[in-house]
Amino acid sequence: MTLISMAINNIKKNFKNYWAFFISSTFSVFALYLFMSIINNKDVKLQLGDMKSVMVLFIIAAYMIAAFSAFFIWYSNSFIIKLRKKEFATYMLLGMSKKQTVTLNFIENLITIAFAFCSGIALGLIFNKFFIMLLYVMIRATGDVTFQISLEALKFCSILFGTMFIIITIHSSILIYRDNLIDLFNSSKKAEKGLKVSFLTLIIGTISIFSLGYGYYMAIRKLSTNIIIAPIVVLLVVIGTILFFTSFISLIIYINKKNEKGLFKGTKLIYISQLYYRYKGNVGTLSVIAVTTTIALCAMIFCFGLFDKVEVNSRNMRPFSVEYANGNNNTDTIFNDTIKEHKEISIVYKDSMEFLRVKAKNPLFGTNDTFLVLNESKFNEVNSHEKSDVKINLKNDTDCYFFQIAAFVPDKSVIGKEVKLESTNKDYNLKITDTGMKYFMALDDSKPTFIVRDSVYSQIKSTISKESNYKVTGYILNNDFISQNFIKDLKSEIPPENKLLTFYDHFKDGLKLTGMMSFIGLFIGVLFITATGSIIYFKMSMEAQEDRNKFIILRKIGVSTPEIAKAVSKELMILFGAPLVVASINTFVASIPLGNMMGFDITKELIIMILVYAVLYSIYYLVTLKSYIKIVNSSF
Amino acid sequence: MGVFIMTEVLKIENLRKVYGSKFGGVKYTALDNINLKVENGEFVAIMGPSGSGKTTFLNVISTIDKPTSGSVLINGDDITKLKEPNLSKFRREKLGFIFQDFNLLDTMTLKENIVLPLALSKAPYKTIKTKLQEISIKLGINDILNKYPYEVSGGQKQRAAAARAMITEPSMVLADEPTGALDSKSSKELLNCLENLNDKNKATIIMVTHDAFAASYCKRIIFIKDGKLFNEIYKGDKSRKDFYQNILKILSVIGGDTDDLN
Repeated sequence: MTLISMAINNIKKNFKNYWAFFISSTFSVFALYLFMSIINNKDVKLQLGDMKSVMVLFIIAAYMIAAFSAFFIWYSNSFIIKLRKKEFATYMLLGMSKKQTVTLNFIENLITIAFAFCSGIALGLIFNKFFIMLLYVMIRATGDVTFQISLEALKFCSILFGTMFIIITIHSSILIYRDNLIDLFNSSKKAEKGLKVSFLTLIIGTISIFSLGYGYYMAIRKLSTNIIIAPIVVLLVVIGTILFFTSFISLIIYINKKNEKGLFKGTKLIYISQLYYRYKGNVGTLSVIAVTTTIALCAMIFCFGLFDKVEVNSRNMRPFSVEYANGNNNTDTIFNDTIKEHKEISIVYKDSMEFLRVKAKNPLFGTNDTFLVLNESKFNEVNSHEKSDVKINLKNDTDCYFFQIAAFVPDKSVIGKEVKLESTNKDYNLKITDTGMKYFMALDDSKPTFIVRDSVYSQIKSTISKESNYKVTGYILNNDFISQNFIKDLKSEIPPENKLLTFYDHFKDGLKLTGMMSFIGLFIGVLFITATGSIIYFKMSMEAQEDRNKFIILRKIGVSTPEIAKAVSKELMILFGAPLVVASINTFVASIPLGNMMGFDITKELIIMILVYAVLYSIYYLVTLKSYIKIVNSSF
Repeated sequence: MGVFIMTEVLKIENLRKVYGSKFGGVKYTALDNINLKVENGEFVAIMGPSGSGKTTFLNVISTIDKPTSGSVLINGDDITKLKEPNLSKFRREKLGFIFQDFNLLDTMTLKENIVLPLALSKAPYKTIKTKLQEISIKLGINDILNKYPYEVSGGQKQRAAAARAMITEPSMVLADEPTGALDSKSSKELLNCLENLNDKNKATIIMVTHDAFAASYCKRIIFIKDGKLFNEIYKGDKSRKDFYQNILKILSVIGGDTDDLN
């Protein structure tokens, strides 16, 4: 038997250890190839037009996948080597030299990596067109996708996976060369000693809860108004999560193990002892998985939330279908002439707003700034045309409503503050009775505005020159989504100083950006699930092999197979479930400020995303459980 | 001998175990027409040379293996007719096991190992505690209960295993070469414990061994050769030394492994 046929045999026999690795690395190659080919695809670049800069998202994503795949391959390889040390020792005992063993491992690695690489590239080639079409659908681009083989992508993937192959070959050779025969034989016996729990664990466990709790508190209460604290919040939650796994869960297992009254009840004794013994070796993996899952879930909710809410967001950012600033009769004529040529488009509302410029002390920051002033009736009229539920009712002449643009949620502390509007020759002392940040015209052109009673507005208006007024004309059209050609024509007619802003443009660009983000999010999400799932699968299979004797003993003394299955499913449920639960809670908390920042409710996206993730993750749990039970129940 | 009522714990009738018949290969009769009765409170040793069928015999009565024909009644229940998961339950509640290599779980303390069968049967905590206390004192391991198996000696491990076997007060304790992995001092300690449990608690113990010294602690010895009952002897009023000589004599006739007695 040659080394090559032996290697092939080994791979066939060990497929139960390799399949998870295969799926995950094949998917990495596939995603990487796809992304690199999209980056280099001329058609896609053409489609993006002036949004070409968002390609940088794909580049960042490709490097993320590359880094993650590299880590994953390295991690899996160390695992497989650890799992197979005894096998290598047997070969050497039977007279194989270390060099031959290393060569055997080299051939096996070559075959597995080459196989994963080729299937990934093959999938990439086959589905390239399909996924670019999917991307087009997501960004609502129309255009032909031609079948292309991207040499750049091929080159990038080859370099990455070639390098990884060299690294893991060197790594495994070192592992095999370094150890003596006896160490190789005993490697799997190196028992993971039970949990060490001391007073320090209690302190760290408390810190973890405190850190998570405070991080959550800041995220929910403060992050929306003060984005600068974001790094602190992230740090608190990440550290809290890691410490939660290292200490708090250890503590819970320890307490459960020490509480004899609760422990000596059925299979609980078995799985708590198993956890007590195994948890220490799993802590690192579990906390990394919890953190990465949190990141993946947050990123996906952010991307899909934006994608799902593009229309809402664009309506929010551009409440008018079309608006321009300081239009005169001529501008209005251009508009009317253009619309006449487009029968499909009609005007539902036309609103002209005349803002007055005044100086005042900024009620938020105390600086001296220029503000706009608008009358109450116009403001309410515009809002009702835009189907916004903002309606104000100023009771006294000294009352005013403050439209602010500062943060993600309006700062209510300004209510009750006095403001002095400085006009050319008279000052107006007003009191802010309400505030809000619902945009009533395009955000791009909005400024903090005071809404005053019509009588006050007229008074101010009469005292200042017409030149310092700011006029905005807004239109609401019957159907924005068929206005593409109209807007194209309008753009070429209206001079740039009138700052033409349209809902449709914002919506179109939003779709491109968020469509791409969701597309990337989809791949990263799947990659994270397959990789984290595989990592737990590896670990558990290895533990099952090591623990087989324990379960044989249990069966000999009269523990039935269903009882063993029950104990194992509970043990794995805790190991699999803890990171998912913690990640879900983290994500839930993160969704609150994320939703505030985006300006809409993303609970629906949050629930769907967590459910989908949990379902896919459960598949890994069930597969792992089945394999674990099969391993421990085999051979009496 | 006391005047208590003898009841049958184990009754074996026409037991046969044939290997290899299923696939039409060469048939091998491991056990042939075994008939045996063991009364409550007996301490029986099963002896015989390698390949005589001792292990098969033990596997069959411990419900791990199924006989080809014949019946095995434990407390009147025919175990050959039991199926999983009743079989596991039966094993856990009616039988106690002591193995040559201890078979303690190294993820559990000695205490947890011992109470495992009771915990699985969901016995009340109070009962578990009392029984643990009782049995660990009898076996002299009550001060090391919180240690892990890898922290104690072989003899202590085996006594913990014996405690695990006894804690459910099984109808019968089955010991497979319990002294096989122990040095002579630990062996003696263990055998004294078993003898003590047999005497005081009226525990029924069946021990498979090829060690004549270990067998000499029993009250009755059954010899198996080529799958058949060859002979049986009772200790009666003999001293252990005489009984030991007696065993050696029979072993020399059936060609037992007497070599490791020296």
